[in-house]
Amino acid sequence: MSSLLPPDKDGGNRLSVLEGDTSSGEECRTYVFRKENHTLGNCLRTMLLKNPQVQFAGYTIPHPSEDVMHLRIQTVEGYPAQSALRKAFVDLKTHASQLKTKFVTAVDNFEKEGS
Amino acid sequence: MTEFSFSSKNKLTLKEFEIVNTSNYDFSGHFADPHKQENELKVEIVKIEDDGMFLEFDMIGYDPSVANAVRRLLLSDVPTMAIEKVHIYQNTSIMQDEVLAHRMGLIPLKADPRLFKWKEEGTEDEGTEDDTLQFSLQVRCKHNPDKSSGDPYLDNKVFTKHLKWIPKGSQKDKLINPGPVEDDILINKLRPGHEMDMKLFAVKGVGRDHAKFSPVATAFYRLHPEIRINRDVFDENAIRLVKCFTPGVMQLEPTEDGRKKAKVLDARNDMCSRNVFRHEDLKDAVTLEKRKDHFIFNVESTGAIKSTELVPMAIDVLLEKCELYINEIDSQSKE
Repeated sequence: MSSLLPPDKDGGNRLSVLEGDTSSGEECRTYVFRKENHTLGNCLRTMLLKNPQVQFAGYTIPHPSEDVMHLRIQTVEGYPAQSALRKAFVDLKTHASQLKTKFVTAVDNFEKEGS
Repeated sequence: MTEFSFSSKNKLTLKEFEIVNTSNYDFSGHFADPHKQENELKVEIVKIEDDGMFLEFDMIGYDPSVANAVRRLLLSDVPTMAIEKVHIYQNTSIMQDEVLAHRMGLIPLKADPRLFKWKEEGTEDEGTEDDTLQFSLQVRCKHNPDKSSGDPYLDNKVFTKHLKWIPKGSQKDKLINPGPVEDDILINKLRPGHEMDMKLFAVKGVGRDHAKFSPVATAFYRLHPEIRINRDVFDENAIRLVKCFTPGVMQLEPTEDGRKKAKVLDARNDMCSRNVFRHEDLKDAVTLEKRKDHFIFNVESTGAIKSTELVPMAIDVLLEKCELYINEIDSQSKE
């Protein structure tokens, strides 16, 4: 069974850092996501804001004609922005898995009641 | 005149000329509810109809970004099979080739996309048994020799039932009837002498690429409405008040002294028309609100996959994306 995500024709990394941003330290970063939009951006932003060590989190889509999303993260001193991003992804994964389990359980219970 | 309220109540209010308290107070440092307890988040199934193709369910306690992500994923990121390449050998009908080919692409197919691989770009249209589904459409319209029946023509209307599946390789053992979902979709109309002869190739794709690949007729959500009665309304006014809302939302109940009082039965089905604001005397009797964290989802599948399977697939896409990016972060930090 193949992956649900379509193959990336352009190849290379889908995630990179905006240039010129690394001089102010590890705590400020703007991440550039290729082929992503509000679906992932808003979810990530929500997860980042739940992290008390994140001081600023926001995402933007610079131009609708280009399939690019920028995510800006600023964290407290000593906590790298990349860790915040990784934690946000892990939290989102956990959250989504729990949602899926709840949904599947709810469907099973509904179908059992019906029969 | 806007009311500025820092209340953490999770309801937005529908007033006569404005809607208040719509924002989510999500900025860093605001922890009205840090990581909601897992038992406060609920998913409840309300209705499953049409052999699993129509689904209504509730997501309670979740953040709007997650609910919206599910909706967006259902529309544009869950894959389906649809006709992509059309080889037209003969088309003497009135409909132009390109219009006809466009229509063929929009026909929903029953084939399960999970059984197929993604087709690589640049490979030939014929494809392999793993990534392409082939159909053929051959129709010729003739005069009806049987003068007595009402129809003067034979095969003048081309329906999806005229599509024939041409199994490739071992497809005939693995797939059962991957053809169109409905047999009576009208494709074209012919007259005697017109002929259509084409080969159709279906591949796996996502809604982001072309809307024909969207697995849902549509998927949408609305917030759960709430109606609060501020002061009792009786008799004539009660009848008028009940009529302001969608039928079944409010009803009249008899009181001890023989009068009739308006009561909220179930605000769920209210379509939020705000009709009550048309009546000067009834405007203040009710407060219309919506619960910001209670999403009522409606998912209607086009027929390929059941709605009850589509929602977990949408969440799987999100999980795969997270996995992809976690791996990229890990490999980049090793460099």
